[in-house]
Amino acid sequence: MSAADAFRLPSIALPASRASAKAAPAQTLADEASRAAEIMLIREAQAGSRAAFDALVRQYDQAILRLALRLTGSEQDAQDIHQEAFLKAYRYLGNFRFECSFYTWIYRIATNLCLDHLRRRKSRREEQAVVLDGRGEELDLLGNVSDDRSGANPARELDRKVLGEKIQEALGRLTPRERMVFELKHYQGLKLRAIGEMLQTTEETAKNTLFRATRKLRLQLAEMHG
Amino acid sequence: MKQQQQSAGMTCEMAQRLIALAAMTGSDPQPASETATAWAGSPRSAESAHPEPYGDAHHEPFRETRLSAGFPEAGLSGSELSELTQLNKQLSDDALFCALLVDPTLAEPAPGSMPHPGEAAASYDLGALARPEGEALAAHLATCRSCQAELAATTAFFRALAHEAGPEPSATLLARSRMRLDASLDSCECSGFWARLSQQVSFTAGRLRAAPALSSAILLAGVIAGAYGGYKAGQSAHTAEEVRYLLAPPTPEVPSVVADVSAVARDPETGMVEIRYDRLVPDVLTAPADDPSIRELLMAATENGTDPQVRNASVNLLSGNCAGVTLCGTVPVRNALLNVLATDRTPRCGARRWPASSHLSRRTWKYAMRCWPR
Repeated sequence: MSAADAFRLPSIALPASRASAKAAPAQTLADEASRAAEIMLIREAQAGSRAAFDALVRQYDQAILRLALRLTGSEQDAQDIHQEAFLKAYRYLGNFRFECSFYTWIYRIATNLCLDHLRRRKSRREEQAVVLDGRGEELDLLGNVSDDRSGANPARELDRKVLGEKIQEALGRLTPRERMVFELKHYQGLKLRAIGEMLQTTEETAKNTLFRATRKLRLQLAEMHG
Repeated sequence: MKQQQQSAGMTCEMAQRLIALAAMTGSDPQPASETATAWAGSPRSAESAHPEPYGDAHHEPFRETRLSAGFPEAGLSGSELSELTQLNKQLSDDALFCALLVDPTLAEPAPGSMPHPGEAAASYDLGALARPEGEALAAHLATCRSCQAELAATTAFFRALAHEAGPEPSATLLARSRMRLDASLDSCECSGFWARLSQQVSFTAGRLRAAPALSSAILLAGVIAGAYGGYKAGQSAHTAEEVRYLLAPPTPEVPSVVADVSAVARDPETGMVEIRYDRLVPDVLTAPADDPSIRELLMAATENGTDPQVRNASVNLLSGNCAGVTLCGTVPVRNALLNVLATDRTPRCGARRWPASSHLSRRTWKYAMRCWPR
């Protein structure tokens, strides 16, 4: 499959699922238990338990690191954001009043840090087309993506690499906020309502931003091949 | 509405050409499961997964249609590819009608108008679409070529993005980040008194910021309390002043502000003293020499620097009263007389001896009578 295969028309799919509806009560119970456990952890951490806070960190730090790495394109910056986000969370955990989920709260901190980083970088015009690892060397993003279809076909690998670079370039042209919404929706798989909460805006605004970002990306990708 | 219909018609024409061009690519059909992943937006999407394909007769057009969104394909010539790309761009720009597939908020339908079925299609991407809505959408899509093309392009776009899933943080990076964070937390002074106080202050400020009505109410209450307290304090001070005034002994009637005393005379027969003085207008007061008002005026007259006769007469009367009456024992009269003596510039060195009858002591008299200036 070449890079162009990605743009072929697939068949339609709907999310409605009767099977999953049957399993819903059990899932709901599991979610409630998980949420209750998390609330206990947060309360213990608010009371000063470092172990409880560490447990909270372990739940979310990988997602935060992934988000920061994707948005900054630098392992060093991603580490900085990861550290700063959880330090802030630790410092202001006493202010957490369970008005939203801890997940939303920690993501809000991290997204704000990422947005600040993107805006600073935008203003410095230090856009990096490549991702750097901790030693400052170029990191092959696509090398980390598992590919069960390529069948070690060098031509397809090259197509994928070119496509990936173009997508990265198009993503880099979005505004920080558009980039953030697109990343959270598309790569983090969050719902628009959650994204709105994280960015302290409405679901409708998040939806509009997502639409603008999608439209820009499509146009830019088309232009690159036009 | 008419404009929208025209736009839709134009879009459908473009879409037909687009689909025709795309059909020339002749690729294999995609597995439905991959489509579901593409719609979900991410292979690791946790919340928006669409596990089941919606495979019924309504969706045959999609399985048969192949669309390229600008990437070279073996079945297309250069010009066709260029046309395909251009059409795809135009479709993205002009197809307001079908863009609802991506976002239903793009166009706001007129109140009471029937929403376009494409609005529901956006829910495909948003991860929530009920079965009836899906069926209605499928029925619409089966007949609307432009929506098919837009849906195809959008789906293909997300499929392309799914290829570029981005880097997963390596285990090494994660471990390194955790170690850094642990070290930072160990050295963080986040649990001391000042840290907690700062947290509390910032939290309170944050709460107030988040509740402007409450902040305004607190401010208003403060202003009202301050105004009421000030009013009560003022009222209390005013009452105390009134009480003090009422309880104070009555003061003798004396001419209020005396600007100048122009003449002092004593009737030798009656012993009455007549003083001409100026307030706002010239006035005259006639009273016995020991009258308090006369005494006040005499003291004012001693300060008359322009007419020595008036001053001397007032001094004489004051000192004469002192000789016979005890009134001059009061401090003001004494001070007035001493002031006259001290400021008297008349040279009279050794003129007289100290009269034993004088109410002044010898020392004071000598001081007053000394040569001045020497």
